[in-house]
Amino acid sequence: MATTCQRCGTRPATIHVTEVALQGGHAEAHLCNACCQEAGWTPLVPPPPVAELVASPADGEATTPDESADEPSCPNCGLQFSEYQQVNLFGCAHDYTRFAESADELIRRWHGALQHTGRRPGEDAPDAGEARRAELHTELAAAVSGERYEDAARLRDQLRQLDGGT
Amino acid sequence: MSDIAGLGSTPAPWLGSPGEHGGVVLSSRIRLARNLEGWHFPRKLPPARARTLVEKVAEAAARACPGRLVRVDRLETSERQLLVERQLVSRELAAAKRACGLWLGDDQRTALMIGEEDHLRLQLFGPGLQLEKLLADAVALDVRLARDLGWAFDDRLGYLTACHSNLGTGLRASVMLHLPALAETGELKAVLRALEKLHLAVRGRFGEGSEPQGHYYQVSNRRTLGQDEAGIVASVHAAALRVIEAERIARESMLANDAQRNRLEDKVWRAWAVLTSARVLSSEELVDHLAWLRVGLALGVLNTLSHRPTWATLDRIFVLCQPAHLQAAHPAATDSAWRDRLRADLTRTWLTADAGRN
Repeated sequence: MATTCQRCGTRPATIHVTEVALQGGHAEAHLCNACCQEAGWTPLVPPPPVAELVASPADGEATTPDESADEPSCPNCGLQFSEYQQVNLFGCAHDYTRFAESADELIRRWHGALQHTGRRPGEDAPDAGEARRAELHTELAAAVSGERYEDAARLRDQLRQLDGGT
Repeated sequence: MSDIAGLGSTPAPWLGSPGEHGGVVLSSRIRLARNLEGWHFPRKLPPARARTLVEKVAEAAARACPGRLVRVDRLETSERQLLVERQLVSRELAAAKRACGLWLGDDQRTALMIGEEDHLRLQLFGPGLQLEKLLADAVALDVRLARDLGWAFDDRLGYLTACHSNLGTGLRASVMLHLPALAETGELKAVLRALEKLHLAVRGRFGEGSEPQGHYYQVSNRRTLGQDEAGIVASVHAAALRVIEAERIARESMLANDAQRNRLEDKVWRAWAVLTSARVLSSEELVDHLAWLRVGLALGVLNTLSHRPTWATLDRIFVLCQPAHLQAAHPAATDSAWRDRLRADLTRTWLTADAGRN
């Protein structure tokens, strides 16, 4: 039976994922191809035909397929980008430079941004209270303009608490 | 058994239900992902380098945070599982074959995973909703560790991590919520969809791919780059407050409607009946029933009971009756049939011991 992607709710689900938990039980996800990639899931590669298995090199021999011999790899850790697409793990920090174009596309799709704006090594803790205060002010303004006075009173109390509890 | 066996007989000292939100929030966690500059990420580390990594991070941790090193790769399977049940390590670290470790703070609220997919996963836990405080503590610890360990950092992409989904701040702020009323009233799906739209991830109790058994959900930020640490924490905090409010309203609406109130009370009393009478209890059955006892205690449904259980007892049963905890505290309980019997006995004993004290 055709199901709809449970993430976007529009496209048909073509990928069905079952994760088995270590302590028992399992979780299922039904996704379309686009959402699958966006969620960072990599579909399992179907098992190779028997003819290929017979022709495969034995354990311990070089296993790089012919078609990937030309694929660029990181001079530092040897990772090829197709490997990243399989396991979602880079081999070293250089990979972000070596595969900048493809990596940036993944980063932009996931984070919606390409520029770090947070702490730098050695910097002190950010003022989380300040960010929370700004967020509460925005919510308060929205509550007042929407005439949700109970919400507004609650938000004002939270702001007072942040400012020292008076 | 090794040096972690003692963990099997006591819940984490910082656990403390019901907290300020009527038991809806169990705990908060801050996690920072970090890698050493100039080193391959763990997946590409040769075995000898992986061992050096564990030693090097542990040496720095010893100077930054009182605690001890647990070599996870040298533990028995059940001991690794015990660390997963306490949520001190991920299932990935527990399954790792290369050298890897856990630096466990003496306070049991600081847990550094060494050699998971990143060199270091710095984690801080606390009861209730307290992300801001945990972030401040985590950053202070990060600053202390950085005196000995140089982090891989890029002006544009921030802290560099093995997976692109953790780049930037490397920060995951998560809150463990208990949402049985939203699940019961059928509103949970809409709430979870709204969280997805806010770029928040919702997972089961044991993280990615785990089932939301007992209606426990972990809510955390999905994006780690493009927003600073304070902003990320503020958005998860704000979303958690909204979900808590939705759960509170769902609980009240169940109490206000006769049919739903009957259903809720029936679930609570059935849970009480089973947990104080059963002779065999599976882990799943215990988690489900215990979830309704929490609701019963929070909403006063159990008030007519002359001898009510305490929140501390529910926390104790919740943690100590997990399979690997039972095995650690009772080494003879190696098969599941034995553990199911033991779980029923302990649950009954602890709940009725409370009754004796009341």
